[in-house]
Amino acid sequence: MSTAQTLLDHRGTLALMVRQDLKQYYGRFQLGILWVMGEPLMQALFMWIVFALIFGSTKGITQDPFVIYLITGLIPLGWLQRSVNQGPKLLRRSGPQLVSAKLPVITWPLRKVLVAMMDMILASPVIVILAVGFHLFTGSPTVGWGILLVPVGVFFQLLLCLGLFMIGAALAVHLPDVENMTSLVNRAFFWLSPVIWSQRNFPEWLTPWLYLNPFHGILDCYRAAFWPDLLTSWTNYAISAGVTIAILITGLVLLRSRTDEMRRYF
Amino acid sequence: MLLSMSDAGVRVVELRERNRGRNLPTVLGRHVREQAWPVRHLDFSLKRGETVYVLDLVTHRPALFLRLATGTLRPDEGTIALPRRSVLARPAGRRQVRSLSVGQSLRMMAGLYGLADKTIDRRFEEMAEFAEVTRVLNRPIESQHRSVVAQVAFAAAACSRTDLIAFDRCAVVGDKAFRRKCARKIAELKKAGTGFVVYSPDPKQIVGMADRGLVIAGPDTREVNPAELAGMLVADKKERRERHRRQRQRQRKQDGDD
Repeated sequence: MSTAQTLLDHRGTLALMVRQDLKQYYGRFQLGILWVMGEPLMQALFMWIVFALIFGSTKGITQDPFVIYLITGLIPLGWLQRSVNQGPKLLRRSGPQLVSAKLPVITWPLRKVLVAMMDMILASPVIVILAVGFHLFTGSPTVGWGILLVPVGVFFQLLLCLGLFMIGAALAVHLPDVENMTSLVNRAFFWLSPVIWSQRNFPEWLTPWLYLNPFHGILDCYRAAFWPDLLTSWTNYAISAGVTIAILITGLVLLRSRTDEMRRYF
Repeated sequence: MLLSMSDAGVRVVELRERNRGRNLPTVLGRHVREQAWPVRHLDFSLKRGETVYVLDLVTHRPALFLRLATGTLRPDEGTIALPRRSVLARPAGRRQVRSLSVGQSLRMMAGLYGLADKTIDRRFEEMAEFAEVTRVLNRPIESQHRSVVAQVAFAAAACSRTDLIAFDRCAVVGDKAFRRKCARKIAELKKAGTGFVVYSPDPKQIVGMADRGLVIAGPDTREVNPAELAGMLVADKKERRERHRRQRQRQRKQDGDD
């Protein structure tokens, strides 16, 4: 609790750190912060061209338009993948600052995860623009009551990303090779989450097992804004939430056990 | 007593070049991790209003002792009684604050020193005034002279009102006038009972301000007088420069042979 209170007391400093990281990262590019929107948009367009036009199939996904289904999966996935990528790099990149600052170590994972979250929030106008455009021309999608679940999704994804980040950071203290494994973890999240598929592609008995991947439940929360019929039994979401909390606790325990070790490297 | 250490020891992890046969291909990583004890069996105490300069002959990382003194590093051996409030002041790297304004950098530095948002709000004007940045608070720090970052780091620490301040290369910073101001502020804080643990690469500062000197040399860590410490710092710098020169020469010769 005292760590949470310390973080709350230092929220201004944390906000400055996030601002600094965002400005520094996007300041390097000619198009600056526009890349936040450009990257997922281009990725979704390529996938739509490949799946809907070249293969002529949307893999049984009936949610229309398919490109919005894709982009509502890809933007949150970007947040998750960035968190997974950066976890093992924590000691190498932020080490000197981390060891001498009088702030809890969790400040740095939180900083990086919040930067990635800001990326997702800044990219979300792409979804709004596409949804409005498609709605004007085709009449779908429409925003329903499911939009209330979006903040729930954001909250659980924040916990999940923080947990994964801390696990990566803690493991990399003794084993820097973890940095090379992040691409595998990211690929697993891409293929095992309903980014380009839907749980309806699978038999019903398998559905609860799919929700053992916590990102599955989170994506459903986001997509419920346009397609509330995607939602399944609440027990499935309880499974996803449980796994998310288990990952967060594992991350907290591992990071706490490695904090002293981290401080010995500088 | 403000700070006391009894039989204190710190274990660190060092990366050492892996031994390999001359003609063997590189399969495993270049480095192996080894444990070392740069500080061991250290008995040290600091009274209120005292200034101690630190020279680290083992790792050349005096920040290690400064972190130990301010509680950001816990000892592996022995015991430490820390002051209630302490600050480890280090100037931020340019990359850490590059995209912020001068005012935001000041807030960030104070935050990193452990000051809560409310405390920063209360003392912000005092800090800005001391750092002489009141008129440029909204300008990007990148557009300012390099010394502004150090001035901001000093001001945030000096106005933190803590019992102990550890300065890592930012005890006396800025131009000549600001340096005098720093020295005056330190003297004023010393009178009020603040203790200082300082590392500075400048031997002149040591003689002028230090009450005692501490040479960290593993198990042979010992206290010396400030003049002796200044002499050791000069000799150490000279030796490191010489070693570096020899290393470069060897490298150049090796490149020529290849």
